[in-house]
Amino acid sequence: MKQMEKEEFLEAYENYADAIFRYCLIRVYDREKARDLVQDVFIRAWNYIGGGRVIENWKPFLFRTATNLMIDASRKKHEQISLETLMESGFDAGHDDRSHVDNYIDGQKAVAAINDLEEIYRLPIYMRYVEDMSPKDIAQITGESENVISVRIHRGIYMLKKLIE
Amino acid sequence: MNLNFFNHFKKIRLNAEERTKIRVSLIDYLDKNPVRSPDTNRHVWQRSRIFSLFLTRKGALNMPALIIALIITLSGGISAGANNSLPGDLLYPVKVSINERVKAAVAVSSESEADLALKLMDERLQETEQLATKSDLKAELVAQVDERFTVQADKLKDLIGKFEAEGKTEVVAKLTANLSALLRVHDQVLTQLREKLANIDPANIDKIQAKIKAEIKNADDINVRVETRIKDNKDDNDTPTSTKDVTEHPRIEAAAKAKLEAAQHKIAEVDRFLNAQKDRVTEESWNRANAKLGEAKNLVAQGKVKLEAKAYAEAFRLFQQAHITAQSAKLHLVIEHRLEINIPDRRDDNDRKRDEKKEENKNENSDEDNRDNNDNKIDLKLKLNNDIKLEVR
Repeated sequence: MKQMEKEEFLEAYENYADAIFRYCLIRVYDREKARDLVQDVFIRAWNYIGGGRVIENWKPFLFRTATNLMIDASRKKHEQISLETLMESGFDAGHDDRSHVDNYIDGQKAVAAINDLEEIYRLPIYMRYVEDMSPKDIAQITGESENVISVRIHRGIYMLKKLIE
Repeated sequence: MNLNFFNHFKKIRLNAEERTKIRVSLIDYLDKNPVRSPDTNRHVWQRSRIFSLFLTRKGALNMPALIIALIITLSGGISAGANNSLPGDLLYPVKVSINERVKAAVAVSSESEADLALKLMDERLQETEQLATKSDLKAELVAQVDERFTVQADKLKDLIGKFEAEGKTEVVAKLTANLSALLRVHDQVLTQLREKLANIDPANIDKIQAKIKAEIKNADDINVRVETRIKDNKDDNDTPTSTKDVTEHPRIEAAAKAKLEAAQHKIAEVDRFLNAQKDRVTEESWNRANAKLGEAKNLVAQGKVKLEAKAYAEAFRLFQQAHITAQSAKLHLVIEHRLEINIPDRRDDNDRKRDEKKEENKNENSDEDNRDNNDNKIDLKLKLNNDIKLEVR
């Protein structure tokens, strides 16, 4: 029983660690902080299981946990980091593809563009297109209705197009 | 919107080193904090309902409730408080209807039931005496005590009858010895109180005394019956020849020896009691009780002589007398201490001689008190002392 839970947990880590890391990174703009957040998110998940509860859908659960952790952190410390700071601190969107300068620039653009979106559009867009989550899962994470999320995704895409063009 | 745009984000990931590092620390955390097995019980701390009486909603101690609880606890509780109550007191009903019922429920064997009945009879009489010393002996309280005394007396009578039917002569002898001693001592105490307390209605005391005397007579009757039974050895054999030569019947001998043992036990018990109480009672009371105990020892010695001479029935009677005398010594001391009065020993030689004659004159009217020790003075203080708890065994 215990072993099963451990295996399930580690499997979830393998599957979602990168997604959570990304999600955190684009919000805290700090690789080290994002790494710590990943670890904290999974520790919280393990504690949740440890309380005798079951995680049925890992992805939304982990994202919600990450969201809550970041909200808590930002409440504790009102840090406003601009994209410039992010760039200065060595933020690299396309870490693995540095060699492709074009891609690198596109990546920078993508991050800048998405960061220019309003928060209420940014998250649904990000989750829908980067993490391939369903509006239902996004709704679960953000606490909005599925319908609201669908509308925001639609409007967000429209805004993003305008920004890029 | 081309997918390429979002693919840039997908390229953001932990590098292998970061991934492994986090994984290692997570596994370490997992091992240190294992998932609780659902098979093992969870011991959740829950506040009991009783305990929550003393806690507020926030879990803080509720001081007023706690203080009340402490007072009750430290004072030994309501029922302990009730134990010393008298008829007419607020807690008296708790004493008679709760405490004493609990004691009755605890008394499982018939013998312990009989002991309890004896003890409760004594309680009722002591209550009467205490009320008298407090000048609080009203007719309705007397009626109350009287009724409860009768209940216990009847219960004891029934039990003694049962023991007689079962042939438990020794038990009957022990109970009647204790009963006689108890009744006689209280009779004396009440007589003294009636003489010395001007402000109580003598009619009320008379009523109780009449009751006691009736019970004394009853106890004497049983005593005579027991002695006769021992003498005639009815238990052993009903054939007429068996009454003639008692020495041939080991059963009488056994009864006398058992009674000797019982009397010796009682004397030893009273001896210990007297030694324990030496510093707590007046020298006068103690000396008197000790003299009475000496009397009991003397009776035992006389009985032993009879035993040697194989006059078992006579030996039995003397041992029984010794038992009664020893018990009286103890009761005198207890009651004197409790009421803080000095009860002169009126059971003088005349009384003892009367006892000796009893065999011949069984129907003697024991109500006639020819005790005449006017020299003895009673020092009566209206202060009660409950230090000593009486135990009738």
